[in-house]
Amino acid sequence: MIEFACDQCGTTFRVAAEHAGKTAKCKQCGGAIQIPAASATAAAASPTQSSTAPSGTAPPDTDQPDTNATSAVIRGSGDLFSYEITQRPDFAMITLTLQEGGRVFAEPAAMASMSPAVSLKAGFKGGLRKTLGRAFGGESMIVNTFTADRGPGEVVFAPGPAGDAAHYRLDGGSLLMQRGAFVCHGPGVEISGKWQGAKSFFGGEGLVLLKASGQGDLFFNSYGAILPVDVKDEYIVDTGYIVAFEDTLDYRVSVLPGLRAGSKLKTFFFGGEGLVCRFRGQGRLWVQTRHVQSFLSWVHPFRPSRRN
Amino acid sequence: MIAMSPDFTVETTTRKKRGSGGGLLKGLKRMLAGESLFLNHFTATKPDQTLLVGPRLLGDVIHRRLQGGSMIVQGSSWLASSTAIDIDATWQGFGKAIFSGEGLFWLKCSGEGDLFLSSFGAIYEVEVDGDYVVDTGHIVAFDDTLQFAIRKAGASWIGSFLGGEGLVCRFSGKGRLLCQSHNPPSFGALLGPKLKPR
Amino acid sequence: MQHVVRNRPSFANIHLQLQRGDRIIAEADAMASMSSTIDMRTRFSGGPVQGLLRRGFGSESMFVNEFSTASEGELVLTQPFLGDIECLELERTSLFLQPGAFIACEPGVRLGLGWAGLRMAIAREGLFRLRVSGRGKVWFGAYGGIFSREVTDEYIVDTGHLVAYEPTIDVRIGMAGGLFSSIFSQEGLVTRVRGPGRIYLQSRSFGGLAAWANAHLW
Repeated sequence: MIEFACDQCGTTFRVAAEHAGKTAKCKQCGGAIQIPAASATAAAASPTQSSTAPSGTAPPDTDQPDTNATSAVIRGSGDLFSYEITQRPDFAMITLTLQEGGRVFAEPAAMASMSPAVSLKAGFKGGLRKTLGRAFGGESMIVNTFTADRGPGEVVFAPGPAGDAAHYRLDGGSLLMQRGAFVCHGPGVEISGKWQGAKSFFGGEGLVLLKASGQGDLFFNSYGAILPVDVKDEYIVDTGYIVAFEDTLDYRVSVLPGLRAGSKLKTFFFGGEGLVCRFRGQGRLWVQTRHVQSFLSWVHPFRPSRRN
Repeated sequence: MIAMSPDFTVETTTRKKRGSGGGLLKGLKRMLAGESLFLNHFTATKPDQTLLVGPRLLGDVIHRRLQGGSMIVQGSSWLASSTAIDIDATWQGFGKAIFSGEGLFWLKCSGEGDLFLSSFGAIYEVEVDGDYVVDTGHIVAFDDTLQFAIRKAGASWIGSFLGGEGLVCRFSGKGRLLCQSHNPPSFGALLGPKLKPR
Repeated sequence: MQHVVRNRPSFANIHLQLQRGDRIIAEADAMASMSSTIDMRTRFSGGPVQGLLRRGFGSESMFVNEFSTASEGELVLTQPFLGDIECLELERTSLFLQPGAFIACEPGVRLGLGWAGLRMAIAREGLFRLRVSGRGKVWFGAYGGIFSREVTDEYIVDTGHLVAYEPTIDVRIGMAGGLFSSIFSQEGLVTRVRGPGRIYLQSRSFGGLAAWANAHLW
């Protein structure tokens, strides 16, 4: 087996020796990698989680976590901070190490832990129109600003649902994210709300999106695993499974195609297959492998009833 | 359905598709709390079409090839099967023994074809040869060659209820049993009270 | 007794092989499956006062089950939520666990329910903490992945993300920012920990999951 790391994003991979010398595409960032001849390069990511050695003797036989690529640590740096995405792919968290003066902007309640050198300020970011746009998109109007103003410090962000997290560098273009996917961003990024038509008949999600534009770093999360898809011509995704997509893609929301006339309604109501989004053009799309509405309908019977 | 290539026809039904040579879909018209028993038939109309499906809970997905026998599958663990597999939702092997409020129902899957099962947490297989006890919320599927009995977990009545373990299923005989590492009703009961009332 | 934590780090569960003479104490709902040769007995884990404590306080009933066998058998233990499980060997040491984190221990480990003090009283989570001490192994779990920090001075943790901490750690409730920020940021009250010592954190919190789900519910 050959172990090597992607130069761009640091994700480590392990392949059979027969692939030595070939060119491959990094599953995480899409960059081209030359597979080396032998595992001479040490893995960039640590194979185990951050140290959990107990005070006392280590217990025998504890299983080690998987070390395949989808669970590898993602590392990188942005404007005045470096980042690590760990606990992937099921309970990913984002650790930002801020240099003195560094700052990030985050969703409310996303902070899991932080050093005392970092100060927290709640505020309304952006002009009023942008703020209202964001409220319309379903996200909170509040953006929390974390600044390392008393020295360098760390902030750990953890999303609410189980799933993965990813980093995206904006360079003038825009990224559209479904509501709930946004975690935090660095300076130079503007977030606004965007309402896309074809709201579902039950008054549920429709396709409610946030748009991130500018020059800077963005972090988003998923419910379930994240599958990046490079759309070439056309691709259809159930709307509940969309995480984010580049705005170079054309998209149209509709009821599931390929149905015989007369059976449209039955499928829509009962089959669980409701709205789909048809993507066309060229660009990257991130799909998640679990469905928020499915989870909510599963948990519904466990909710307290109003009468109690 | 998560995502798919464009050339599929999709049809929702509770009945066997006429002339399709497909398996029997029996008893699916019952609606249980929170669970629709309508199934989606995906048929590719061109070659090389991709279909991405996933379960609703977080956990494993496995593939099993049925070779003529039958497996009893916990309702929410059934994910997909090839059209030649018979699905019978009228199977009542556990009778009223298992509290139906937990939303548990069972499907008898038989025939020759592919079966995809999902779980809450990880799936582990037990080759039963003798006796084995499973908390009912942890059963994914089992060969119908196994005998089973529902009983209280502890040695005494107090032990069963106050001790936390509700009902368990005691399997005996010979056959494969697929279990899941986590129990959906336990998780639901913990999270539920923290959510908005309905 | 053989033991291994399988399916780490996301669906962790404990597989044990017990021999005659082995005993394992486990939280009320922890048994997933077991050989029929395993015996299960219910017992109170603490004194009469602790025995009266209800589940509502943080998902830890003080009823535990004791497993043993006259011959040998397999036992699979789990937790109600998905995540990782850690096994620590206590050697006349102790550890504080958030209620709900405890899964199982060997008989030499004592369980005591502690009052985390008035300082924690106003937090929604963590009114109580479980103290495990003595000699033997203890298994505790998290919702999400487990990571730790060696705290030398001070560190700030969202209360729902704190799983366990060594007794040398001092915990205090504080505000996340200034008064306005603490309320509007929705970070609310946080736990300020002061070292030296080790703290164990989880990469998800039930409060975070509930808030996310509630935002979608009507």
